[in-house]
Amino acid sequence: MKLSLTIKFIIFLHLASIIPLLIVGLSAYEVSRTTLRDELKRSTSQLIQQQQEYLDLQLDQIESLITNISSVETITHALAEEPAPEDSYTRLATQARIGYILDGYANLRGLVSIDIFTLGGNHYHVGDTLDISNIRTDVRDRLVLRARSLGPSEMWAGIEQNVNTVSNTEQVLTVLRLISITDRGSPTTRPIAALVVNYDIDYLYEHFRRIDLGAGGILIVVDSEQRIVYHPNQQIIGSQLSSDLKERLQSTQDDFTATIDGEELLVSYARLSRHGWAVMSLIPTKTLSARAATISTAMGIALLVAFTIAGAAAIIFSYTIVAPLRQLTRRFQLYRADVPGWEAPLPVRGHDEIAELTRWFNLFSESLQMRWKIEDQLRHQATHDALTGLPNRVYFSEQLAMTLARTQAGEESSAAVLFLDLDRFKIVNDSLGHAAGDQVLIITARRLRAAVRMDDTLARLGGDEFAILLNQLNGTDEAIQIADRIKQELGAPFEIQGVEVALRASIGIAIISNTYANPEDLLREADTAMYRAKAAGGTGYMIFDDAMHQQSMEILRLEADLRHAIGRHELHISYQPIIRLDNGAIQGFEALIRWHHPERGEVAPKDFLPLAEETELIQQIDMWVLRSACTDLRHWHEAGHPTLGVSINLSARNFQNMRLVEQIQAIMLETKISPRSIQLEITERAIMTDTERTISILEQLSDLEIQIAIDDFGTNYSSLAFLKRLPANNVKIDRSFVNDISTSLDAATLTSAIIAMGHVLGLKIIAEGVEHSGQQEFLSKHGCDLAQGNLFSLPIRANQVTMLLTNGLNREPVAF
Amino acid sequence: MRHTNNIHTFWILATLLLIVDGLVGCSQPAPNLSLIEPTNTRHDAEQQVSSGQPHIALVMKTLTNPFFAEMERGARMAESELGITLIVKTAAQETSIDQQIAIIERLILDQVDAIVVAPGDSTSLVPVLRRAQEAGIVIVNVDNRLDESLVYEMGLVGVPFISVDNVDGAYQAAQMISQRITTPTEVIVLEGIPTAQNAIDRTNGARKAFAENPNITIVAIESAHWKIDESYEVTSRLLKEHPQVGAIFCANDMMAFGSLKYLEEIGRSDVLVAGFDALPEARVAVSNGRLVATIDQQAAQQGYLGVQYAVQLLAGEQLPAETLIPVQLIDQ
Repeated sequence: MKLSLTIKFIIFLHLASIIPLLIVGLSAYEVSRTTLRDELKRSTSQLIQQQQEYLDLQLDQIESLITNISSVETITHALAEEPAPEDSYTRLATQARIGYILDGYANLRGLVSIDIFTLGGNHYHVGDTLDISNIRTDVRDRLVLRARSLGPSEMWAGIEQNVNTVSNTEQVLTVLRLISITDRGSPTTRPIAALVVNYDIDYLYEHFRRIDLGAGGILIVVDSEQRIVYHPNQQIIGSQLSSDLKERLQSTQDDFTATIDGEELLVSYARLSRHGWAVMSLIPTKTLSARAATISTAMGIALLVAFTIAGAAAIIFSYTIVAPLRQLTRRFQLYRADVPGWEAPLPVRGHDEIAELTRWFNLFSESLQMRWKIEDQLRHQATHDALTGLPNRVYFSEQLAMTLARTQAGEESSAAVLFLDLDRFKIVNDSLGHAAGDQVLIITARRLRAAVRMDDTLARLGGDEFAILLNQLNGTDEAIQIADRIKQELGAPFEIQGVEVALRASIGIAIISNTYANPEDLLREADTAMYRAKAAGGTGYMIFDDAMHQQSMEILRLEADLRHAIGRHELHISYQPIIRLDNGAIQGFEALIRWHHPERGEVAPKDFLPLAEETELIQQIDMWVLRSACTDLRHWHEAGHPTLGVSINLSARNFQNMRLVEQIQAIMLETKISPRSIQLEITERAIMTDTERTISILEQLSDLEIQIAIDDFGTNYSSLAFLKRLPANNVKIDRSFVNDISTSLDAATLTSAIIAMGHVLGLKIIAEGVEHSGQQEFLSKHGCDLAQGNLFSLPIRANQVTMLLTNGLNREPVAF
Repeated sequence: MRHTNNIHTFWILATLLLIVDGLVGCSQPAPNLSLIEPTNTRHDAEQQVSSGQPHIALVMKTLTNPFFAEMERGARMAESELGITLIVKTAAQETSIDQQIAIIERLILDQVDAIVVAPGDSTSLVPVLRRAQEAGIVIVNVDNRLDESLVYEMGLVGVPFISVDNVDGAYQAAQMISQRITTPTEVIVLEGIPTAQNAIDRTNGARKAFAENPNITIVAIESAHWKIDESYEVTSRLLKEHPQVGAIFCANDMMAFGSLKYLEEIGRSDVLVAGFDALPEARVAVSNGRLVATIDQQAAQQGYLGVQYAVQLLAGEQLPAETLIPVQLIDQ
């Protein structure tokens, strides 16, 4: 049997308290019942004894009265002279005489009357009536007859009807004696009269009535004829005891229990010393039990209290221990089933072990929730953008991957990826600051959210790039509609820091088909489409199509080919001389990479360098260029041109290489080239990408006495102060300025300012793209130090460099 | 689960209670007896009279004079008719005045509602009766009148008196003797207790009747205290002193029988004797000529009326101070 804690507890309580209580109570009850019964028997027999003595005394008194009367000679003599019926005098006088005497005895308390019935038929009487004209003759005859049966000085006492009808008392205690005289000279006595003394039973009644035998207990006095002399119920006095009870009394000496008139009674019985009288007590056994019942009641109450306490204890136990335990169990079940609501803290009551357990459960739940919350936060952080609150690239990729999977499973009919990039965001960012840029991004995010459908996934991929995953599309048109809506939403101008800004975005759309396996491919294609859109300007969005696909494939192939270009010796270097403007001497060469594709022929650097920049390839290429240029320079130094230097472009990517400085050093040791002969060109843009790190590397290189030149200077709005921080030796003015010198006053002014400024900072100025002599004149006039361009020489192969060095520039030298 | 627990608890409780009950209630069966014989019950249920009934005591002078038995009979009749409880108390002898006083004192203690008294003495009982009245007990005076001046003096007011005209009764009885006397004759008057008013009245009535006859000479007026045996003694003494006596007026029949007893013993049946009270024995004696006359003063009616007056007084009714019942002469 499976017992719950509560039942176990209740059973334990019973075993521990109630059962011993029950045993003690029952034995106490039994002992007290017996004791009470014995005590009652003793007190009853004592009582009966007392009443016996009392009755003896009373009867003694009456008997002595009778004895006295019967020995008064006046009376006996008067009685002896039985008057003739007609003798009024004698009769009246005798009556008077006897009356006077009897009256003296009539004062006995409780006495009703004294009567003398002579055998001759005369009646003398004193008592509570004078009228004896009407008497009960049957009673008189019975009394006389009974008196005659008595021996000398023998008496009879018993309950009788009052012989005098007029008397107030009908039922009396009668004592009888025969009065006899002895005539002189005669040997025998002669009976002359019956002396009858009637005693008031009420008087006895008053005495016995006061005897208390306890609740329901009664005392009964019976005479020799078993007639009731006393009973608490006066109606019964004078009645005959029932014959079966009489039998029972005669057969038993001791007390006995009998059911009398339907009630179980304890009968105690004692005979008087005279007249065959008896006193008996009838005590209901239930009185006995009633007394013992106090104990049983007390025990019952005690048991009830014990049960109540046990019950209350069980309830308390159930509430304080079992219920919390069940609750805890339930909570763990809910936790296991992952049903919400398990984690709510449980109320802790008190300081006991249960409370401790509950407290620990709460702590457990709390810390678990905390951990989950942190995990959620981390997950959110990992998948969301902090600034806009939009999902990030990771999340977007996941979603996209799922969509792709669905598409492949045929569950997704049509879906698309929108790639969005804000136009001119960088301008906003650079002119109004990052805070403004952030605000623009937030506004963009908000507007995008408004433009797309509820179920679309909007993500910020980084910078000003956003991507939108459109699921469940009704064809391409819907994607276009959404793109239009986006443009419309974004188009509303708004103010940031008092400047009105109108946003415009370029959107690339890639329609998802089951040919895609990789989310990145899709994103890239959307990206590509976006670039196309941006490049196209106009409509603002572009759908990635087959042509684009082809183009992309083309680029991919090119990229693949480029990987093999170094190994296959398809790359070579062209050198463009850098001319000193003061004397026209060749200062050195800028090494320019060239790719001779076996199928395509010469590939323009603008076609493959961005590709290389996107991948790690650029580093390899840059290092290959450096090595090759150094090797060539070695030859030229050895060929008698030891002052020549070579300038090599270092792509921004290289600054991510931790071992860049090391590698450069190694190449120069390997080619035995002095670092002073080497100039590394770094674009302004490259430095600005990761300024601190780049400056640090540049300083290391500068420490090696490698020359540093800032390439394409002027295109990126870098300040003078910025320039001052750089460990640069030279500044190369962007070709766009040089180009416009002769046509644009601005360009001219700027160029001259850059030259002047550079000089102030102790930098040498190199002008690129010099193609006309006018340009050269302007530059010379404004003190530009060096120049390169087609005006002086086209880039030439290394073998041609030796020739050039030998022959000089194959043109009419310009007057310097 | 909770429900199951409760059922368990209930059964445990119930079992334990059954055990307790079983141990406590172990009893052996006994045969059913009855206390009394069913046929033998007393038949006097009506005897149980309500104690709310007024208790009226009739206090009389002697238990030896049938006159008072007659008075009691009348009172008993009133008892059964008027629904009261009658208590009859009697002194042993006519002279037992102290006993009568003691009886009344006892009745005061017993707190009876009314006392109908035939006082043995007209004065001695006044104080005790006054006490009884102060204790709230209604008093009715019968037979012998209480002394009026003393009653007034003691403040014992509102006590009605019921009796006969004793003067007239005695006068009528004495006249019957007087009518028979035509020659000068010595006459004796045996009177009752001299302090009792009825005794005095009767003596006066007799003297009045005798005074009307010039032939009559009253030689002695003596008291035999209403008693039969004393009258025998007194008669015997007086006849020795006055052997010529021709008539005796006795104030009651008992004394008349005492006188007759002596006269018959000495063979003087010629002496005219008259009594008073009209006892049954006296009526017989009148009819056979032994007595000249007797006076029926209707003792039973006095008893009846006494009780009735007591009941009426208890009910707050106004009653005449004196009610005299007409006497009846019994003669040949």
